[in-house]
Amino acid sequence: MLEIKNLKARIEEKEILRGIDLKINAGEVHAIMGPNGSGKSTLASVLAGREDYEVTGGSVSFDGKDLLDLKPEDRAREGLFLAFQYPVEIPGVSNVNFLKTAVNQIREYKGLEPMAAKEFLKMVRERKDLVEMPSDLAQRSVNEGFSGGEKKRNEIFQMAMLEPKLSILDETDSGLDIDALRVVANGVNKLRTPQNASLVITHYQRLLDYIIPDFVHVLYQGRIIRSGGKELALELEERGYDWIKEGAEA
Amino acid sequence: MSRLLEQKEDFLREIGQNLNGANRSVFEGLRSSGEEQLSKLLPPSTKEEYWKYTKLTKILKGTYSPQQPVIMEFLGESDEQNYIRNWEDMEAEEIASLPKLGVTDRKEEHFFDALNAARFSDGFCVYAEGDAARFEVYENFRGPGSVSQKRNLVVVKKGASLKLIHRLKGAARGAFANNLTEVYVEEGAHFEYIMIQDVQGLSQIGSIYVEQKSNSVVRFHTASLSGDLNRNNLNIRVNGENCESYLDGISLGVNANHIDHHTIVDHMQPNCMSSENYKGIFYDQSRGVFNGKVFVRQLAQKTNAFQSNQNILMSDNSSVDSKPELEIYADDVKCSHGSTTGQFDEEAVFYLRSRGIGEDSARQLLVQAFLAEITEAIQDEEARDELLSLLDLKIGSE
Ligand SMILES: Nc1ncnc2c1ncn2[C@@H]1O[C@H](COP(=O)(O)OP(=O)(O)OP(=O)(O)O)[C@@H](O)[C@H]1O
Ligand SMILES: [Mg+2]
Repeated sequence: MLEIKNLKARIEEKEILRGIDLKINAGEVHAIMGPNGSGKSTLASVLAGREDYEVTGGSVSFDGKDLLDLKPEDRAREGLFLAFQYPVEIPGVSNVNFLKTAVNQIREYKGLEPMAAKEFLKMVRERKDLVEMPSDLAQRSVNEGFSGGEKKRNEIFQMAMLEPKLSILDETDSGLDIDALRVVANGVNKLRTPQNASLVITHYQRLLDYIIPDFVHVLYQGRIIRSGGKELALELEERGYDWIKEGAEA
Repeated sequence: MSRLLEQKEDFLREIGQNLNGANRSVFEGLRSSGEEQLSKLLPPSTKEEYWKYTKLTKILKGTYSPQQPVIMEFLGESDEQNYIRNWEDMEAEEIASLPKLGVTDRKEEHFFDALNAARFSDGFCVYAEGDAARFEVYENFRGPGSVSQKRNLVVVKKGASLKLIHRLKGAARGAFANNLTEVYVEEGAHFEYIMIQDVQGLSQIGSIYVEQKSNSVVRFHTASLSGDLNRNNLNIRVNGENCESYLDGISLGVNANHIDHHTIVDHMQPNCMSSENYKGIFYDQSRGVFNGKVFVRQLAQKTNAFQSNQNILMSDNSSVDSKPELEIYADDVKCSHGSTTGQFDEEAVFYLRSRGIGEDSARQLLVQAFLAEITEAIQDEEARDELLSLLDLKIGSE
């Protein structure tokens, strides 16, 4: 589904991604871990199409299409979704309204008719329940005045509404209380199908108890320096990063 | 002869004197005092603080066809209690029974007020005694270089309620308008005024003078959506206790449009509140000006005055001069003012795009969201919907 080859990117002359290779197949869950500042969010942003970053090398194909060639909105329409580490507040734009625009523009891209109002509202109701999102949050302006945890929950609600093929969750677990973590993880699991895939960025093994990854990768200084199964996360939890870093720096 | 004096004489000759139906003896006093002031005053220049950011050269140097009348149409049921009429259609005694014209204006200081007093050609008189009066005025601009000087009077009697929707519509290259409206809002009365300015090619100066009595509520909404130059002077004298005054506006600048909102709220009595909220979006080379002045007189204890002006510059060539001002002579008051002018929130644009929304729609959604606070403040549902769809149309095409 997603194939990243030797991806390099920089911002303001600073090389941040220094050659990333990663392949994600349908049905898989990949986790990316790594110390602060290693480039995890940068990778997510580059995949989503943030224009501040300059891609200096490599390629990304998404279901056979050249992802880097697509505008951010077309990446989303092709089925890529990023749950932001720091979701922005947008006063005056209601959550539900903007999702309606999003859903219909995605449908239009796929050559489908706009969704009937009734059908859309039914979907809102269902998906809201799936992530246990309080009704007033769904109606309110996007993230405006939401608590940190509420913002994260809203990201997952949007993901549920847009039904992406590939979801990238950037530290969706940070800031969530224990119950919310379970709810969000359950939501993600319920949305899992053999046709879609997720890339979960996290610092904590805890999330991976709920969303069980097929692969765990360690990102350090803009490169994936180790990949393994879910037991790698446990090992990192116990030993930290130093033991791998030493090997990588050598 | 000084340059300004020369300009003045050319200008006065160009716009001519076309009194139409308003050529009546009841107005003679107003006209002659207007003429007298006009002979003493010079057109304002940017050296004057009040006109610092708005150049009038284009108006003063225009060529006009004053014989082209600008037609007014009224909507709404008139009866004994509530009516809207032309001056032409009113009996002299009827006019005499209303507040006298020319009491609240500033013709002694302001050239354009004096000009209007001397040469207004028409206008509407709205009178409301009932508790649900609603009228609409259309002014249709058509001919290039047309000139329109309306003199309007609004009287909202004790305890009455009036909604007035006033639209300037059409397209008229190089046209000029200088409207002056006097508004009396009596004890306990409610008045909502929605002004939609949407005439391509028009340069207009519009002045409104309001006298507000105790326990009354006024809401002024001014939407400047097109026109070469819009200068709106809104002056409210809050001359009674427990009043509420809401002033808000939208500036939508495109091309080289110039949109200027000048407001004065003069708190003379205690226990009143006023709230101002103006928002502007400026594309291309358009320019915006906001100057809001709030006076709190010594007697006006417990005044609550709030003022806000926010602008978004959509291009590197657009600009805004914003100046909220407070002059407070009472000690027990709550006043705040703020002004922000900034670029578009690109983080928000990216967020929306990352959800599959196209770049143009994302920007449109954000502009609408920015202006929503103002449209939502309009109580008259029909006018609100009209403004919303006008905005959709205009922002969608930018
Ligand atoms: N706009 C920017 N200008 C300069 N440097 C930047 C910019 N954005 C990111 N960086 C740098 O890029 C590096 C990678 O940042 P990134 O946000 O991708 O890290 P991360 O792995 O997500 O970290 P964290 O675990 O703290 O979220 C950091 O050193 C950061 O300071
Ligand atoms: Mg990060």
